[in-house]
Amino acid sequence: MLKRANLTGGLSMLILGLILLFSFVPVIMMVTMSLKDSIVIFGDFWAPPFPPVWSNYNSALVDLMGPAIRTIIVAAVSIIGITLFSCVAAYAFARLKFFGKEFLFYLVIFIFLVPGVLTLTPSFVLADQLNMRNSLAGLTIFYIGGGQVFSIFILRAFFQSQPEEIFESARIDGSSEIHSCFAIAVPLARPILVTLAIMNFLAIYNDLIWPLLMLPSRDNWTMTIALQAYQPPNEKLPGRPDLGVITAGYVFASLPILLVFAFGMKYYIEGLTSGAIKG
Amino acid sequence: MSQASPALPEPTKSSAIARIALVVLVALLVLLNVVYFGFLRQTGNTINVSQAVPGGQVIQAIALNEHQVVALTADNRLIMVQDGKAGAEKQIDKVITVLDTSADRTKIYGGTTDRDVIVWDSQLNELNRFKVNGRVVGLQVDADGKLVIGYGIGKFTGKFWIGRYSDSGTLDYQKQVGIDLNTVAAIGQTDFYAAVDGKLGAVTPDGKDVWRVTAKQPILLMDATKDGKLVVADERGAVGLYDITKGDLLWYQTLSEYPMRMLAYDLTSNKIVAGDNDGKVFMLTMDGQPFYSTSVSNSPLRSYVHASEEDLTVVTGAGEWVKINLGLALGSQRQSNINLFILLGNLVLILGAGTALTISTPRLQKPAARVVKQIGASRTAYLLIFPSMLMILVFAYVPTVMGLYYSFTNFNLAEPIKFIGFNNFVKIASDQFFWTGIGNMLLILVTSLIKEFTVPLLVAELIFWLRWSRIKYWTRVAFIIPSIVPGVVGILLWKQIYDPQIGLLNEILKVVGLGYLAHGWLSDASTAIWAIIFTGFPWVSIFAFLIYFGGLLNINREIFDSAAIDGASAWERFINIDIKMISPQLRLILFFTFLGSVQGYGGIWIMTRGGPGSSTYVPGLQMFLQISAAEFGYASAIGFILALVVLIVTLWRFRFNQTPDEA
Repeated sequence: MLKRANLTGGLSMLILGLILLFSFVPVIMMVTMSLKDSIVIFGDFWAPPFPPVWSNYNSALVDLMGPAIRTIIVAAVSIIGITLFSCVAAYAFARLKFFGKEFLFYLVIFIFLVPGVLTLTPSFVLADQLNMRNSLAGLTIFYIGGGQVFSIFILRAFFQSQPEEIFESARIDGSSEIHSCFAIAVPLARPILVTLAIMNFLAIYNDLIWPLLMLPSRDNWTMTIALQAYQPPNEKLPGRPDLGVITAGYVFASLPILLVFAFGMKYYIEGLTSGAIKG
Repeated sequence: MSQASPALPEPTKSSAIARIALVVLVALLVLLNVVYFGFLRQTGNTINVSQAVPGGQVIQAIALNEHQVVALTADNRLIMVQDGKAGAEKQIDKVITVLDTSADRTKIYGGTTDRDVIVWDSQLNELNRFKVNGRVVGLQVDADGKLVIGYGIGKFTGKFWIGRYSDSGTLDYQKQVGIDLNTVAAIGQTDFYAAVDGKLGAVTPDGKDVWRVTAKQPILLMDATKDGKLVVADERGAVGLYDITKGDLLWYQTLSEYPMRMLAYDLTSNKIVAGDNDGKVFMLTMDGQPFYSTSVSNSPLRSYVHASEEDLTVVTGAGEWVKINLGLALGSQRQSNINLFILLGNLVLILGAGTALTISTPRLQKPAARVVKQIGASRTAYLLIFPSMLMILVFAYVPTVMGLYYSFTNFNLAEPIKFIGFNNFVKIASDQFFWTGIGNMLLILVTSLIKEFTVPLLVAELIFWLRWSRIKYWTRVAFIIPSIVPGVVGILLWKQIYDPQIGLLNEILKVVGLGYLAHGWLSDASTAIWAIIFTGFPWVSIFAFLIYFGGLLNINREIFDSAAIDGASAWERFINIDIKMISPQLRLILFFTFLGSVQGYGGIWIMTRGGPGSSTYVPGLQMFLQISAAEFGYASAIGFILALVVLIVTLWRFRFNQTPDEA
């Protein structure tokens, strides 16, 4: 019996290993190419990256540092804005009684049903009319506005699951609602907040279509726009892409996500596997 | 916090006052509406449209009298129209460009592209025909029965003349006036011409230039007024009046965003009648003040038939005979102001009466006070939700409403925005790019579902049933690592893999001896869409994997144990327990995959931009490209269709989710 279990276990490991290997192909290709000279890549595709050409990274860093910083600032401010405003609103919807609460929450749910394809064109026109195009601040405000509905939805459900007694006793102790929100509800919701922050970060960092429409000028380009248009000059092989530098740029662009996963993976996995996030 | 409502200090006294106020307000309300419906409201048709020329595209029409016009159609027929009814018609063997009548309106003159001027009597019998030295572009008959004709050769050639002829074809003078002419006119002994470059000139019959000025915009139409002034209409929707002694512009009035297609001075009413390309008609006083304007059609105005203080009759490009009752029409412009006033008055009075009623009725006092108090007491709550609600309003509701509206407009940067009904959708229905896109979208949807339901589920199952918890943990982590590559980078890497010059895929094929298969996977229309679908192999979607894994974790162990005791095989267990227990997760992934397939196109944009040709179009991408081309109306309409599809599936999912397993 034990032997058979080991056999199926081994077979499972073999299949998993094979799938894993294929999953890693693009990553391996990216990393090895980023350490090779473009002449070598075009000359002998399969040549190992020895000795590694670190200068690719110097070039890529110089070119892409601007977009990287811009994107991270936009993402950070957007996440703070989304979290702050949706926390207080979700708290009010979950814990407070007020006139028109049902109606207002239905307004939130209803707009949740409207797909993004419908609002893309008018949002572009709106941004243009509000003079928010070609501005990182404008992009950020749209992200904050666009992130509200989903976050309120998730957080309200979470806040509702917190026991009412804690808040009742805080009220008796004279705690204001805003204080209760930030001192009790928000700290208890930390896992879900981190999950939401990671999801928002991934969404904003990976977003291409909306920044493409919002930021026509190269001076404002975010990481995704800069990457898809990245064509560093290739002095050694004119007319051919400098694949070494380009792939070094790709590796550089992956680092922020690596960092976010390193710190928040536990929350992210918990968030997705616990079933808290269900569309 | 627990104060009594400040709105009700002394119940008895205030309710007495409120009762009096209520009676007064209701009386006013009744009075206002009686006066309105009894005296101020007008009814009746102001605009009466009849189809005069069946199916005909009218290029120009010329009035013979108050009831009769001769209409020229696009297929070169002259049709007599009497009070909106088509009568006798005559097919002409030449392409007629311009028509006019003699001052007594007994003769009709037409100029052709073939250098002819033709003369008919009022029964359309041809009287005479003579040649001029070029294609006729303008023709006007002056008070003495002389014909002032503009004609020329070619386009933008400078070979254009203005000339004066008798109706038998004798030439008085002709003068070369440079660049292409739009139209000509005559007042007394002076002739006028207007050119495409905006030049406006006056010539005397001995062929001398009197003056030449540059108009604000190229003039399309000209006419003479009673007191010998020249009224003009231009291609930017403006009408102007010139003094003819020196060519001074007396006034200039922009009326429309569209070019003017009709212009006449009306002797009876002493007004200027103009019409634009968008079916709007304008009446102006002689000092340039708008007197009346209305939209009468969707097609350009072509001719005015008759105008007086009471009515105005015009003919449109679609052959409609439009009669406007001016008395009623002008009244209705005043009427709309009165209507607004009455509406606001009613609103204020009803609100006032409602408030008075609430205060004066004891039974309503308490609930009303409670609502007022509640709103006051929930200030904190309103404050907390205010920023979010404001943003949702501005960034979600406003675009939604705008998007719905734009779908039914022609919104782009070239023309003024205009409501066009279902035209966008009609156009989409026959848009080959759209249907190619729908086909690709369905293909991507089906293959995505297959991808999301197989590999991630297999990986989740295999890892979940691994016995060694340490390995289990690290395998899970290992599968997440490739997803640190940002989505855009992932796509770019795959684009690199497909690269015809130095792509991994071709290199691998060469190594294993299949080099003859190597080609540009994305630049070949027959493989491009499949290359896009294959992207991301082996398709371990980390999101789906974690959702499935979470679902498996949440299954009660006892179920597995009892299955093991019953001697169920791994396959039986998988089918009967695992799949069943994680069906909510499967439905979630089904839903997200659907959303992603319908709304996702960023990857395709990076890989192929929809090409080669239209082979990798999807509707979302087409929408994005239409936005980039500033065709916002059309883009919104595509978005509207996709949104409808998504909405239907979303609603179906919510309904489905609520029935069996959520309870």
